[in-house]
Amino acid sequence: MFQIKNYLSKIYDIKSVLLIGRTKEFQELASWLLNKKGIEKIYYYPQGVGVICSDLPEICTLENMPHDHKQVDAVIFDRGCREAAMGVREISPRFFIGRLNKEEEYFDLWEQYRRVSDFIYIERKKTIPEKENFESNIQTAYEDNIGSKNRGKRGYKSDEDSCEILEWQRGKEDVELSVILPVYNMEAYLPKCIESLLKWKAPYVEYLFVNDGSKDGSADIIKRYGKKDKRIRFIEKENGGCASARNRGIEKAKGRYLGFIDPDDFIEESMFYKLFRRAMLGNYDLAYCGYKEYDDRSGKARKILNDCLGEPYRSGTYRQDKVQKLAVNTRVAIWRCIYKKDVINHRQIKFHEDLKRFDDLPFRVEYIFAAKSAVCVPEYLYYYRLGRKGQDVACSDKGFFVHFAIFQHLDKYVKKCKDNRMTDLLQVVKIQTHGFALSKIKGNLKRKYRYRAKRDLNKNMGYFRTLCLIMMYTGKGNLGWYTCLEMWPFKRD
Amino acid sequence: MVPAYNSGKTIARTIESILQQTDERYKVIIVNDGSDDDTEEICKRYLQTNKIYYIFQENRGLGGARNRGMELVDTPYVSFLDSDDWLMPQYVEKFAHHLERHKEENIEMIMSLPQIYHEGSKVVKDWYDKPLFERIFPEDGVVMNPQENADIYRFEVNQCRKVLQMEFVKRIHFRFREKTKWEDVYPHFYLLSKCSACMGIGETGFYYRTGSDTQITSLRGKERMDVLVVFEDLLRFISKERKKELYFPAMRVMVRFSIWCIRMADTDNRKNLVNILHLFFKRLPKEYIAALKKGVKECCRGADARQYLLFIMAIRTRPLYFIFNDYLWQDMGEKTVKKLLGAGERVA
Repeated sequence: MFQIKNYLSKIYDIKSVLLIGRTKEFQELASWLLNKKGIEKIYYYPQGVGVICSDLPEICTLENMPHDHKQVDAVIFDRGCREAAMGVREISPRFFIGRLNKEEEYFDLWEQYRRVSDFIYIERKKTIPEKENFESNIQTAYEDNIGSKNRGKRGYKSDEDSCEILEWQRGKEDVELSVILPVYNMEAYLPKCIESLLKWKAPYVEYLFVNDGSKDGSADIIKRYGKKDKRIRFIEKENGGCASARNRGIEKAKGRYLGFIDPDDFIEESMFYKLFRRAMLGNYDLAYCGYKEYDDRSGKARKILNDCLGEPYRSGTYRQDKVQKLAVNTRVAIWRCIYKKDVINHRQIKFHEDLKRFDDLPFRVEYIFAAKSAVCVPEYLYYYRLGRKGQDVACSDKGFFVHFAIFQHLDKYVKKCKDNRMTDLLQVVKIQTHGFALSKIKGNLKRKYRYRAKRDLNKNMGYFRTLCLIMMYTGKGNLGWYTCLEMWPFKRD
Repeated sequence: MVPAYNSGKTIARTIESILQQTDERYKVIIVNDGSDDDTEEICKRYLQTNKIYYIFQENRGLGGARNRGMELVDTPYVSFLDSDDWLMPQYVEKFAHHLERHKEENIEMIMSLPQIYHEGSKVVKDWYDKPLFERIFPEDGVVMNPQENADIYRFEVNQCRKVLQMEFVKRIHFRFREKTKWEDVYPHFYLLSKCSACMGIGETGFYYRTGSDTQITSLRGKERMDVLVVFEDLLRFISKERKKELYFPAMRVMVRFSIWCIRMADTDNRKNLVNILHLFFKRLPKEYIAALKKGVKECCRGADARQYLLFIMAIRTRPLYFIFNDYLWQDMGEKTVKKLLGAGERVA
């Protein structure tokens, strides 16, 4: 209850309240509310409850409630009263506050009330998995970690302690989620992508198509869909590369959360619904799901496993070291996440426009280092198309040299943060990326790449430290080639 | 009393929450500590209400602002609120109620139990030392003498949870140290040792925020070095007082603060900080260390106890303290120790 009381103590201008609930605690809330300044009337919804508190003069039951529903400023409901709370929508309160049991659905309540209410606060009980319990005891700073102190060995865990909160306030725009799609000559794949997006009918989403000077009929296709669906916004710009198109999208986006999608891929219709729904409860900075690789030739989809879809991310984590580990443990895939726009704006995270390819890697690393909380939806909802012509991954060997430019940007970013942990994680990212590149590159270019990779890896730290990092984060697989790389006296060609 | 420094965003909510109090017997003193944002404008907006006093001063740090504010207090009791915290409407009422009940006992200080509000998840949690608090003050309004029960020193040091009697403050000429951070560590011990009647009131409806970027607790740079000044103050005080029961709580605070500061410090300052702390802890007389070891055995549970003992051992030993120079060595050290002890619990 003190969660709700805390929220209420921040509100000043309510006069009348409708209470929906039967528990004892709730009746205490009634007397608590009567003490609060400015409250004149309290109504009870299930009849008969008010009788118990009849010594309090202002309380009345629904029968003698005035017909003018507009008089109720706030609705507060208790656990187990979801249906009743759903039923009083015509009152259209300015504040909609309540709490739910485990597993009770909160999102449709929010969807219903976001149209009529200005402030919504829903609290839901959370199940804490055993494993996280155990892990959260390690490496905790003593003041800055939520939960770890209260959960583990130290005892005193009460039911009230573990809950997640959806706190929403009507913003200037009526858009919650913006999905940004940079379009460049995608005629063939656009319709499938757009249709998979539009299947989710929520009105609070916008789809921003940034046309990066396409030379084919992409623009017409988007405009055609745009006539049917008001949620599509079309932005035209001269050709400047994928990064600049995404940056333009970020500038123009109105939503609280942002998503990026490549228009040649497509999604399960529920993807953004599930991500957004999960991110809202608990106010997470980052929400992501798994993805499948879709082979264009055979038409088969393959799940990508080992992608951090387990604990503690499944139940959501607020621990920054856990969030930062995502930079190392997940694959570069910015399109299966949604990001908070506040964080992007606050830290001024941008796509680097001078990078012609892989511009998503620095964005992802920078964002993850800046994020404070993350949650995952353990389902595979995004289809990543492989094997189409002119795709990024099916690239020439020369293209890999863009990695060095990327890491130059990231080195600069990490230096500003002055955090050893970030420098180390970046080193691990470097190891992974260079290892991948070296396994692909052939011939003469490989020698050149090796030389530059060695210089790049030695920029921030020495051999021994890197070895420790490899052992800690990536497993022994990278030890071999890294040691060879360090020991071999490469010469510049 | 609310010291404010560059808190234009949050001060309005703080003031509003005070004005909402159900009990009218209060005054608000806002000390603007040389802010360069719109704090002043926002405060001026509230000046019509005769409850609020507003003063501006050049930047003297949190301690300075509190000192200035204390000079102006004319009510019998003073409580300290940060400019980004807020109160429940019953806050004043609760204090007033309990103070009236214990009028003749001349209460000099009131301890309360704040609640923690986490900025990211918006969840409210219990305060860190709730079990201890409930043991010492089994119910609201219990009065005890800190001289008789040394456990009270083990509370989390935080000025905002204490309400002071002005008479008491004037009698002992109490002032905060200015221009340092973490100024509330030393007063915690000083005030408690002078105080003879302390009342405990449980959850009063005071919220303490964590997890935001602007807070003092998230500073990572040079400011961390200030802990040493604080420690020196504390040490001087204990050695002057010569009270054996003070050794353990003070040592515990210092060890906890050091662990936490080392963890928070950034790359440039960490090495420096560790060096200073090494020298500091090395210089400490043996009796303090012995007191810590003894106290830990009596009062702390497994994981915590191990953490304190390992830390104090490692930071005092010359080849070992380098482990704290870098989080990586610390992590690997932790893993090894955990393996050796065969326990899945937190170590230093």
